[in-house]
Amino acid sequence: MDRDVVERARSGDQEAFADLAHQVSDTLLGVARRILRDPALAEDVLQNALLTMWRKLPHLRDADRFEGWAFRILVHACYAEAPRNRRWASTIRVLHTDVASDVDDIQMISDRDELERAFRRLPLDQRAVFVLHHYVGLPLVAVAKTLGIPDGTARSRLHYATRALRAAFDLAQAPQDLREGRTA
Amino acid sequence: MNDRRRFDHAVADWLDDGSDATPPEVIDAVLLAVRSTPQERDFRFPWRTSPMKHLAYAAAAVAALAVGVAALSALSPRFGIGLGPTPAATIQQSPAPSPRSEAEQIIAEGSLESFAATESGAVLTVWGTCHNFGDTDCGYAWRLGTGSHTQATGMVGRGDARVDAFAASGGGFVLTGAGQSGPDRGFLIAEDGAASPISTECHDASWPTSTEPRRLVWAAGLNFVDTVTGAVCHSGRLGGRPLARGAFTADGALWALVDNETAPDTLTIGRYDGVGWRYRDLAAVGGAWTSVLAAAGSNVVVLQAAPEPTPQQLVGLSVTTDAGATWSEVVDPEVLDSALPFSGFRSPDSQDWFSGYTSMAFAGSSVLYVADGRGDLWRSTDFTTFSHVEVPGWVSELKPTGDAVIARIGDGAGCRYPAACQLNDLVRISADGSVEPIKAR
Repeated sequence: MDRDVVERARSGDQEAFADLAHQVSDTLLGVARRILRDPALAEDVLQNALLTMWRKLPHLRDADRFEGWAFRILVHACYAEAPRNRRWASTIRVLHTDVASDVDDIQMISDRDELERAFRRLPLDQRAVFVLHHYVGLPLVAVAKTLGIPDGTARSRLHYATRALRAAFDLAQAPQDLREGRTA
Repeated sequence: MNDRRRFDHAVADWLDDGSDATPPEVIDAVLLAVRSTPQERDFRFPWRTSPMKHLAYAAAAVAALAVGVAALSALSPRFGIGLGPTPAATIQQSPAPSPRSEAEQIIAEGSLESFAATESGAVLTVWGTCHNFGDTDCGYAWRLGTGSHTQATGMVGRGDARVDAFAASGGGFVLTGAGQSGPDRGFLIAEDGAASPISTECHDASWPTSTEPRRLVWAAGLNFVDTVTGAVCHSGRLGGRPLARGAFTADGALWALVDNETAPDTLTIGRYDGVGWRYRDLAAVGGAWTSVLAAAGSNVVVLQAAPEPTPQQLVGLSVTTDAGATWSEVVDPEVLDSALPFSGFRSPDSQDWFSGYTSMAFAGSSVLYVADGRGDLWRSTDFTTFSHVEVPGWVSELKPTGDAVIARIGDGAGCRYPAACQLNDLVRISADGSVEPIKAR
């Protein structure tokens, strides 16, 4: 991130903020999409988060910390927006069955579907930690700092999220008859 | 592949799925909104005061403060400006402060965050002591008053938040909060001071097919509020092109500046009647940079500004008095300069500039007030020529309330421009231009 651009945006330079918004929007949208699992809602959240960043930029003490600060605002925007729009959240996912040409492809789709369902059942705070750690690639300490939570809290949220996803994944791997509760 | 690796691979594959390219219209709408959205200022470090600052402003501000303090103290000594209880006194009297005393402490010490007024004269103010994103040792409180009388106070919440106040269509007020302490919390506050908590979730929100008069109001950012239920919804719920900023008229129509995907430099306005949208491109002014609009009845006024040669210089004025059937548009710089002497906020040494916050509101439907961002207030009845209105202090924000507007004002002490100042007082400005102080805390 160009420190000078952040500094200028912080001083009220709207063109600098436009540069900044273009630089970070794809990453932020990616995070929002993965936390919320709804592309349209993620775009709404991105818009609100960017406007919040504009308003609050003068409070940013260190321009070098812009990225973490932006993640934090985005995640709070996800918290704020997601419950308001629950009814609108897409629960239907289109599976591209045309590429499922063999057993492995079908298994991959099944894996993704189970992960998706399990992830949607997670609380937003666990989703946020999981996405920042596994998608953005932040170390857990950095995730905790970004979200303003203790390290142990970040660790436990990641643990619960991973455990839920792992359980769902294992279920997808199990033979069909086991999944349906039948025994030999 | 073992189970762990298979799991990690599946998660990575699942997380990488899909494109994250941001649609241009999503960013464009934000940038359009940014141009008429003020930045919050960090008040922990006072802005250096320019030696070139207008002495007239300083003198007027000092006089206004003296007059304001005297007037408001006379109305109610206990709640006069700066005369509220000190925090030390409050803590000594009550080691475990009750919610009421905590609210009063925040009101006494905090900055004015938001305000709203009803046509009956009730005024709701929201005060906050949070100045940094993520602060937790701070909070927000509300005060309901009529005239000089404090009718009720209460806590909104603790921790950094964005709290907004709106007049409700059925009387009373709606408070919405978005922040760490409760993103979906709000309050309905009746005019007798009774406060009931509400959810501001949008998921069950619905309205009649034709937009109900006075029910929806524009909120911060790209949201609107249902003043009956308190639901806060993103403007995308209304369909159409991405909205940048809008204003609902009393009859329920929404006028909004919208993103123009095909011609980004063209400013486009849309009208939503509760069923569908109609769009119109406003006069091309060579890359309109920002704009603000006000709407009341059939009257809509759009001020367009550009960044060069001076930030926020007025470059276009679009007016309709027949709900958009016909528009009169002024783009001639000389005419504009005489119509409304807008200018920028470049500092005296020309090293930096601020995004000025221009605010407009109608008093009734036939008198328009404009706070020009330098702290000056202007009045117009034909919406193309403007006369200066004397107000004791800098003006930064206007809100309509029946046949008057409420303005946020302040003395601007310790800062260079209204957009960078704490302005914690309110005045009511009638349609005839008369100004009356309002007791805000």
